[in-house]
Amino acid sequence: MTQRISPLYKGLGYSQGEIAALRDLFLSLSKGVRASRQYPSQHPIPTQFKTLFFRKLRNFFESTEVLAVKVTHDTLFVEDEAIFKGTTASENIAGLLHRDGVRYLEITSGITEQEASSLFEAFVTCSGRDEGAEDIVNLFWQVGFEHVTYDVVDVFEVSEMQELREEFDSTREPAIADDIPPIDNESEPLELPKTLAERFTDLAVYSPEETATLREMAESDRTVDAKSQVVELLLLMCESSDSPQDISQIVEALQSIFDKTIQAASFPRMTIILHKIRDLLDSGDIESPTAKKRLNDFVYRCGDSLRIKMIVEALNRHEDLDLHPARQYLSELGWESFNHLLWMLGELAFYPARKMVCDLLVEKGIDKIDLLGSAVFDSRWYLVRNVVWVLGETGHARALGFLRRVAAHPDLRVRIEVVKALGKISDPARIELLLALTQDEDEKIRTMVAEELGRTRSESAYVGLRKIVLSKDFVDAPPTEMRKLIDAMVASGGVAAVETVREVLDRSPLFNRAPIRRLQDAALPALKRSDTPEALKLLTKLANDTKSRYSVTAKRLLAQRQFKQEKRVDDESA
Amino acid sequence: MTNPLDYQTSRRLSGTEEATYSQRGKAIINQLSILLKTARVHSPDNDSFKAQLEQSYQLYRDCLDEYGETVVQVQSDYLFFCGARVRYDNEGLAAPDHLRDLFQRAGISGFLTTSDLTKAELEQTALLLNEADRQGDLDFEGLQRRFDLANIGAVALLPPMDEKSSDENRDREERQFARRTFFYAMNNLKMVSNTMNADRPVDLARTKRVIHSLVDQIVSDDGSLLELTALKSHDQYTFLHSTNVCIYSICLGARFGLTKSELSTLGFAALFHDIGKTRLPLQVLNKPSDFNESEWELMRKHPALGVFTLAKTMPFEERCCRAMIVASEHHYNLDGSGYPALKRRRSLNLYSKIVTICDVFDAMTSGRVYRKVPASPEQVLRGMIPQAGYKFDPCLLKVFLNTVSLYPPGTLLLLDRHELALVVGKNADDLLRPKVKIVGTTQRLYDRGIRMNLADRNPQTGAYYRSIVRVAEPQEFKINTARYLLDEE
Repeated sequence: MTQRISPLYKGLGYSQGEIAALRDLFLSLSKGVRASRQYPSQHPIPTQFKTLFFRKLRNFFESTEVLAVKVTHDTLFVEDEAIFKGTTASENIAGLLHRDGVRYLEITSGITEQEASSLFEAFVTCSGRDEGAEDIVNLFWQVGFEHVTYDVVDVFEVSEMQELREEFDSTREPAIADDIPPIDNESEPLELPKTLAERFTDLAVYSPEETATLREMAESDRTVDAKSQVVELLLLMCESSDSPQDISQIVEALQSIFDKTIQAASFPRMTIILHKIRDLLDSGDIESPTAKKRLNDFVYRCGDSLRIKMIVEALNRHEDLDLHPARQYLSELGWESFNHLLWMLGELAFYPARKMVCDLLVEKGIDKIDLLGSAVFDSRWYLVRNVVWVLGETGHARALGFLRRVAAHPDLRVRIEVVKALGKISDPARIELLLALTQDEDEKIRTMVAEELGRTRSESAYVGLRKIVLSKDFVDAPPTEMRKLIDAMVASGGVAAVETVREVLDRSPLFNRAPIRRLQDAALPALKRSDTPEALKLLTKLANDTKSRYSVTAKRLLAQRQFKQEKRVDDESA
Repeated sequence: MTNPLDYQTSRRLSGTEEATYSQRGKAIINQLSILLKTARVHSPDNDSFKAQLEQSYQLYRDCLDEYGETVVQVQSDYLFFCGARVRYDNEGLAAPDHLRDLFQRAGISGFLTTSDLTKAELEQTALLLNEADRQGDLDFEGLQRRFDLANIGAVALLPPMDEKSSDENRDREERQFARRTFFYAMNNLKMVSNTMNADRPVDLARTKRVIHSLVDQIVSDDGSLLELTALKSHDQYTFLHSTNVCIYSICLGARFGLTKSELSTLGFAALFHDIGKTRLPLQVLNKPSDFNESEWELMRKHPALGVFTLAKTMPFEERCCRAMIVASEHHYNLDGSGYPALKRRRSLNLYSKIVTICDVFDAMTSGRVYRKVPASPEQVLRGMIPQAGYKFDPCLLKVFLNTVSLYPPGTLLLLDRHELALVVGKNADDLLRPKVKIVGTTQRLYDRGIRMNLADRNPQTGAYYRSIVRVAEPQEFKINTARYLLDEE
C-alpha cells in the first residue's frame, strides 16, 4: 500500500516498434472499456475488444518479458515515453488507475487470457462505478493476478494514523520500577501448567476425522447463500421478538435490504424475499400483532409508488436485463399496485421493459378495465398508446367505452392503436366505433378501419359501409381507401354486397363519368372477396359480355378464383 | 558511494523493481560466472577471455549507467542483485552455484561496483577472485588488501553477512509494516463506525483495502500481526477489540484453509462483529462497575443492533451479508443458547463460529465488559477448552489453539532468571518456548523490551538460556504491555 518510486519502469529498453505497439494496445483497451459501457454485456463488440486486448498483449510479449507502466492522472508512460493520454473522462484509463492510487502497473509475459480478461473487466467495472463500489485496487486483489503487479499509494493520510497512534500512546503509563513486590519462591521454578500443556500437545495433531470435518465445514460453507440467510435471520428475529421497538427496527432493516435489492435490479431476490415474508405470515407462527402488522405493511409497500419508482430506475439502468424475473416480481404485487404499474408505462426508457409491463397489465387488467381505462386521459400520448394496446389485448367489451373516449385523440399514433385495439375486441358494439372512425381526418386511419371492418364480416358493418360506398362524396375518396372500403363491404355483406356492387357497376352518369368509373374500377375487383354464387354469377356474366368494359377484368378475376379453388383442393387432398 | 558495510540486501522492493532487478541480475550473474570460468583456463591476453571480458563489461556498463551502482551478494544461500532476489527455475543453476561457492571460498558475501568501473578493473576483479577461489584460505581482510594493492577503486568487497542480524532487520521491517496496517485497520473502523452511526452509507473501498493488506500479511506470516493483538486499551476498546478479532479470525481462517478471497470476507465480517455496540449508550459501555440487569439487557441487544446498522448502511452484497450474520450470531451458541433469543434453533454460519471463538478470547483477555479484570491468555484458553461442543465448535477451537499457541501473544511470563517476558510470537517447532520480549526483572522494568527466543540454547552446553517459570499477571507487576509492544518504532 506504499508508494515506492520505482526507477525500473525505465531501462527495459523498449524499441520504437514496441512503444508503438503499446500505444496501440492501450488505445484499444481504452476504446474497449468505453464500448463495454455503451453496449449490453452480451454484445459481441465488447467481447471482441477483450479478445483483441489479449492478442495485442501476447504479441507484445513475443519480444519482451516485462511491461512496466508509470501512471499519472491522465497519462501512462513507459521509459518516459507517453504511451497513452486520456483526453476525455470516458476514455481515461490512466485516470481510473490514478484515482484509486495505482502509480505503477506491471504486466509480465505469460499473462493468461483469463487474467487479461479480468484486467479488462476491472477497468470496465471501475469506469462506471457507483459510489461505494469496488475500486480498481480491490478488484485487482480479488482477481489474484499472477502476471500483473502494481504499486499503490497509501489509502490513509499519514496524519490520520499518527493521530490515532498518539491517542493510543496517551493510554500508556510510565514504567514503574520502584514498588514491584519481590517474587516468592523465585529460586524454585513453578511447574508448567501440565494439563493444558499436555492437551495442547495433543491438540497440535489433527485426527483424520477432524481434518475431514474441517474440510467439510469449509466446503459446505462455500455453498451458503448469505443473502438468503440474512433475510431468514431477520424474519426469525421478527418472529421471536415481542418488543415493538425491536420489531420496528427489524422491519426497517428488511426494508433497507429490500430497497438495495431493487436498486441492484435483483428481481429474483426480491421475489424470494416477498415469498418468504408471505410464507411466514401464512404459517401463523407470528404471535406478536405488531410483527404481523409491520410485515403486512411491508408486503403492501413492496409495490408502492416509491418502490415502483425505484424499479423503474433500475430497469432504465439495465437495458439488457432479463425481464422475466422482473415480470414475475411485478405479477406478485396486489391490486393496490395496479395504478403504479400503469404509471411505470410512462416512465420506462426501453421498449422491452415497456412491453413486459404491458403484457403484465393485460394479465392483471382483465378485471380492472376501469382502472386501466382511466389512464387514457393521461397527457402523455405514448402512455395512452400503450394503455390502448393493453385495453385491446384484454379483448374486454368494457374497454370499448375508453377506446371511444380516445378515438379522437390528437395524436395519430394513438388513433392507429385504437383501430388495432378495436380489431382485437370481438364485441359487436365495436362496429359502430369503427364506422365512426371511417370519418377520421387521416386516410391511413380510414384505410385501417376499412380493413378491420372487412374482417368483422358483420351485417351492421355492411350496412354502414354500403352507406359510405353509395354516398355522393365517396367517388372522391383516395383510390386505396376506396378499394379497401369496397373490399370490406363485400367481405362483410354477402349476397347483398354483390348486389350493391352490381348497383355501382350499373351506374351510367351522363356527365363527369371519370369519378364514377374510378369507383367502378375499384368495385369490380372487390367481388373476389365474396365466395357467394351470386358473385360468381355476376363475374361470369361480365366476362361473357365482350362488349362490356368489365369483361377483361372479370375474366382475370374468374381465372384467379379458379386458380385459388384448384389450389385449395390440392392443398386439402395433400 | 554507498558504504558497502551499510548496504542492505533485504530492502523492500516493489514487484516491478524486484522483477526487473531479478532479470538484470540473472544476466550479470551468468556472464560473471562465464568470465570467471574463462579466466580460470585462459590467460588475460587470450581472445576468448577478451571477448567474455568485453561482453561482461558492456553488461555492467548498461546497468551502471542505469542504476549508478550494482551489488551482487549472497545471503542465506540466495543470490541478490541490487537487493532483489534473483530467482532461478530448476534449470540454469550452474552460474549461481558457482558464484555462491566462489564467494564463500573468497571470504566475501559479494561485491559492489560503482559507475566509474573500468574494463581493466573488471579484469583485475575477475583475476583476483579466481585466485582467491583457487587458494581458498583467504579471509575478507586478506582479499581486501589484494584489491587495495591492485588499486581497484570502483569495486568494493562485501564482508560475509551476519545472517542473524539481516534476519532481524527483515523481521523489524515486517513488524513495522504490520503495525502500520494494524493502526490503519483500527482507524478505518473508527471512521466507518462514525459514518454508520449517522446512518449514512459507508464507502467500503478503504476498508476492503485494509482487510486485503491484513490478509496478505497474515498469509505470508501471521506472527507480526498476532503480536499486536496483545495491545489492550480501555479508551479504544471497541475498535481495538474488533481489529484484534479480525486478525485472529483471519489467522484462524488461514490455518483452516480458506482462500484469500474467503479470508477477506471473514476479516470484513469479524471487523464489524461488534458494530452494534457503537449504538449503545457510552455510559453503559464505559461503566466502571458491574452491569445491572437492565444494562445487561441493553448489552444483549448489540448483536441485533449490529445487524440493523449494517443492513441500513452497507450494500446488500455477499461480504456485507456475512458481516450481518456474524454480527447477529457471535453471541449465539452452538446449543442454541446465548443471544439474541430465537424461537427456533439456528445452525450457525461458519464465520460466526470462527468469530465467536476469537471474540471471547480477546474480550476475556482484554478485561472489558465481560470481565472487569482481564484474565491471562493462558487462563482464558483453559476456560475455553471445556466449552467446546456447546459454545464453541471443537474443531475450530483446536485450530484456534494452534493459531495462538499455548502462550498467546500478550501473555506475561516469569522466567527462571527472575525476568519478566511478554510473549510476542510462537516457535512452530517448540510451542512451549515462545518468542518473547524481556520487559524487566521482578525488581526493575526496562525502558524498552529486548526480543528473545526462548528456544535459543547455549551452543556449548546445549542448555536453554532461559525457561518459563510460570504465567504472570501484568497487574501483579504493574506492567503496561502496550508500552513494550510498541516500543520499537
